Amino acid sequence: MEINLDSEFISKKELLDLTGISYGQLYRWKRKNIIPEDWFIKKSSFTGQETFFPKEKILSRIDKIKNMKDNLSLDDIAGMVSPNPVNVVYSKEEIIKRNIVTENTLNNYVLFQNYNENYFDFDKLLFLFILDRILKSGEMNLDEVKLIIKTFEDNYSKYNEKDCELFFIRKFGVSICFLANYPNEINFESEIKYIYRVVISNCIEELKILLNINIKE
Amino acid sequence: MKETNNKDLKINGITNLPGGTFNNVKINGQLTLTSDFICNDINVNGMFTAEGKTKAIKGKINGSANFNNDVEFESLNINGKSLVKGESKIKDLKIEGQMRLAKNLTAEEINVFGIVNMNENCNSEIFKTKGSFTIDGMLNAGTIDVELHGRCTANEIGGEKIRIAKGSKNYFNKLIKSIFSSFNFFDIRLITNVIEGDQIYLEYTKASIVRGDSVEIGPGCEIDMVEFKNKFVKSENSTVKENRKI
Repeated sequence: MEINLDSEFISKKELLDLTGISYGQLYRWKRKNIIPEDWFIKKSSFTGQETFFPKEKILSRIDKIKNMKDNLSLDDIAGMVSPNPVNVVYSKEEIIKRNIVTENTLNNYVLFQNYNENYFDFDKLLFLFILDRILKSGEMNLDEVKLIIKTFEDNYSKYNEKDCELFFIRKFGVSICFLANYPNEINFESEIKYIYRVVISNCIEELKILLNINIKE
Repeated sequence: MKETNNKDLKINGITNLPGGTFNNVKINGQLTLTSDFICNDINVNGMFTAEGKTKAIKGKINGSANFNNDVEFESLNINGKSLVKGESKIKDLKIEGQMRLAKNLTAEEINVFGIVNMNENCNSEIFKTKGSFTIDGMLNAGTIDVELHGRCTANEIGGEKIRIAKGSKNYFNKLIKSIFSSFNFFDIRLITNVIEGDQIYLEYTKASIVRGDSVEIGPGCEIDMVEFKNKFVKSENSTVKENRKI
């Protein structure tokens, strides 16, 4: 248990030491929702109660904030890292021109979902973005990819701005796709193979960064 | 939201109405709005209950107001008594009377001259008080300036500049005492588990752990452990069991 705790979590003190930020900064970022409330995990330790963070997530987030804060205001950063959608609409031409996804992905999406409109809002861009990643991963055939995108798009709205994780698993050649709340704790029998899994908030974050960079240029 | 074509609502008697969008709302009698409402300005002199969500630019409560759902205000002034059962987003909150917030409060500036009770967390850029507060969750504010006139408690306090000092003006105590008999005047101090910040100055504070860049302990404190980075000063009239430079 102890070993587990060390590798996955980092205490507040260690975090401040490692990153060089102050308590004031940490609390400011928490107030601005740049660091989500549920990353502050209270655990009892020998000095009383201590706060721990999911190590990988908090380090990458702080790194990101440090890199962005010279060019962007804290509110802008908060907007970028929040799971809430932003108001953007892109046409097909723009998507290709801005290099958000490849033309191949776009054509596949149109084919899979019979999407005949020329414009894509944020959610649609997210579907494209995830499709792009899945296609690039090269782990699945087109029918399976189609199933994933359909499952995701049909169910995504049910999570209503809450974070979720997309799974694609396989056992003896039978494949299953599903969505689950994130964070989750899912365990399967040992024959199950995880082919693909992705946390949606991470995708949203990456997509927002991608869009923002594109807007700036 | 400045829409001039919305109607004013003025209640002098007792009534229940559905919500909606109004310009100015003035309640001298008793009003219950049974669903969500939006308005520019709400002024309560009598009794008001909002069953749905509230969204307003300006609010002034001289009587009593119960918000049974989420509220959003640009500015809200409580002179009487108010209860919010939902989440609160209030940019500029001034409490001169008594207020209880059952869920999280997010604000830009909070000024407390009366009594406030919060059952969850309080987030604000500025938190100033000359009254009394009880925060069951965490007080997280950029600038925290507490002038102690009664007992104040918070589970945890975090921020940039934190200053807790004993109030000096006695007339103020008398003033609140005459209004709120339940006020505890003989135990004028702040009680919390953890205080973490950049610049910390404390008087009459009881805490388990104080962590900061620069920590100055004034008179009347009882602290188990101070962890500091750059500076630590302690008054002779305080006890700090242990201190550690980190």
